[in-house]
Amino acid sequence: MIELTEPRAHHDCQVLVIGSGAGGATTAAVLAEAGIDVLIVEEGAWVEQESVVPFSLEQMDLQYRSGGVTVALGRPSIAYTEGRCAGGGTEINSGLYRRPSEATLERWRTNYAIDDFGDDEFYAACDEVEHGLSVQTVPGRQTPASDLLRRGAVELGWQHDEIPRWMTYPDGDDAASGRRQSMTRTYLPRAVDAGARLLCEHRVDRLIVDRHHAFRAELTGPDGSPATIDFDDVIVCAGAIQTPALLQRSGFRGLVGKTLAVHPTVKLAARFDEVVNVANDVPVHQVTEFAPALSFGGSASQPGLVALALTDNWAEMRDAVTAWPEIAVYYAAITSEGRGKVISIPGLSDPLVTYRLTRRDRDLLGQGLARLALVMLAAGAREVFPSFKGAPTVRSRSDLARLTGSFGANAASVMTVHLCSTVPMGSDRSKAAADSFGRLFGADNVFVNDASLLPDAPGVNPQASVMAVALRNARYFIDEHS
Amino acid sequence: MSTRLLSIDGPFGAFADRLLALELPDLPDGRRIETVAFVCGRCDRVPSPLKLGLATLTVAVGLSARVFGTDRTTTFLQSTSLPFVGELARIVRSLGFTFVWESWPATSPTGAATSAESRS
Repeated sequence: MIELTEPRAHHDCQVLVIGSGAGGATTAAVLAEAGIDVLIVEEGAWVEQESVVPFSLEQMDLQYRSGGVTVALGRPSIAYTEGRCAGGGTEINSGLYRRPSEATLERWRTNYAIDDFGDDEFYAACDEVEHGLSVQTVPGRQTPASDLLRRGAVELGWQHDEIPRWMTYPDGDDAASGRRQSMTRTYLPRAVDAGARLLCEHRVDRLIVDRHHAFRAELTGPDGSPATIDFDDVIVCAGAIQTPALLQRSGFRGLVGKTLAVHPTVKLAARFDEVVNVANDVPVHQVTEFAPALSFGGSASQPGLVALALTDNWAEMRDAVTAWPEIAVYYAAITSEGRGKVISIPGLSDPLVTYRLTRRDRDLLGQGLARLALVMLAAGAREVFPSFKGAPTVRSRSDLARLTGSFGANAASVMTVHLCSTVPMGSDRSKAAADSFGRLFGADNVFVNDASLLPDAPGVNPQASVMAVALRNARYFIDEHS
Repeated sequence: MSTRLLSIDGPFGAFADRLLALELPDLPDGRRIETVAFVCGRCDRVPSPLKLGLATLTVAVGLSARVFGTDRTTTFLQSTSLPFVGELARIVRSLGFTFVWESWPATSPTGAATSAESRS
């Protein structure tokens, strides 16, 4: 474990970085290595990777915001998760990595008028991230649940591939032996080695701003004690929910928090004739036949999460729960046309989060679930249990019409783990809340450098996009300040 | 914000206990109490706007339980698809079932402990 900064009533620094996830850790490392005096403030604690079982309730207790119970209200409401620990979401996610497509970069560049946002420069930053995180495919065996997804796609003749992960495999070559190269293993040690300080378990309540210039942050420590930090510049990297919430609490409104984008997902549990459940890992295969609109992959499948997948139709599906070793949970994710809001409400410590699916989104979720069920049948599933109220158990292709006919998005357990776009960047002020390099409009020295900046959801896991943008913007910051 | 409403011995705890008793009738009392404590603990940690909503719903549940009885209120909430009101049973079920099967993976579909688990 790296050495953490001791709590004090007051700290000073040149650049304050708020948040230590994919955006914050990357930003801090680049700035510290350029000789800048950086202080990173993280709301959560430092938790060693091996000390908790991945995807367990204990992990949710220690490393997720609100114990993992966070919801964007709407019809339907969408459950989401946020990391709240040193390393942020990189400590708790699946470690899957995909570059955004050229089409996505072009859409962002054109629709938001992002300056100096060339493909070559962006993908060079991706190269750097991939080297830094040891991004690679599994050198040996994949998990049974991952193999089944591949088998289903092959049977149907659908496109599929393995998603690389930021993992190393020092103890063997199979999927379950990988060691995650999250921020606590990579960019945070780099930042601290270069002189950055890391203050954990402190929440930044607000920034004090005088005539567009922020100069102080007010914090609350773990025991409720107040603290302050004075800085020259502040870079907010608290994630797509907490970043706009903090900015709003500090008096910045405008477009901040008004354009939340996510990848909504629906799930099903599939039962096979053999043991397929690997509780502490997720499948790395993905079916991309309908991407980017629709993609299918595998989820964590702890026994508790198998039970969770069956709860919407417990009376009918409950008998399957004892067969959890033969069951794995899979998801269908869509690129959504809907948008949500993050609204900081005076008097409440947390923001209200809302999300509205469009009619097309709802239809696509239903289509996705039916096609995912078809993949499962093609892979040899004996029974498929979709997660929505009133869902039929699918045992053959003839049941798929019933599934499609009975699906309603309002009855589904919709969730997401990809949140972005609450402070979109670009030079088009009618759409963007920050300039092309993350400086907040209406502020001289307040920057954003996390998933909030992505103009929309990239249709793939966003960590590559977040880190590449963070590298780009951090280097621009250094150039501008040198 | 007051958390009494969402505590294990408040109206939300009573509702969670009754719902789990209905849906997992063979779950041993000790495990059910542990599960209700977990559910209440997690609900007490939700972001403040959600907590405000949960607390408001819980007030209504408490009033309904006084007028119509806990069983009738719970049965209604168990099956209703009314917006937001229906989420109350869903959140208890989601948290509770996840906790039960993560804590005791060999639990039967009705909540019964297996003989192996009972001995341990």
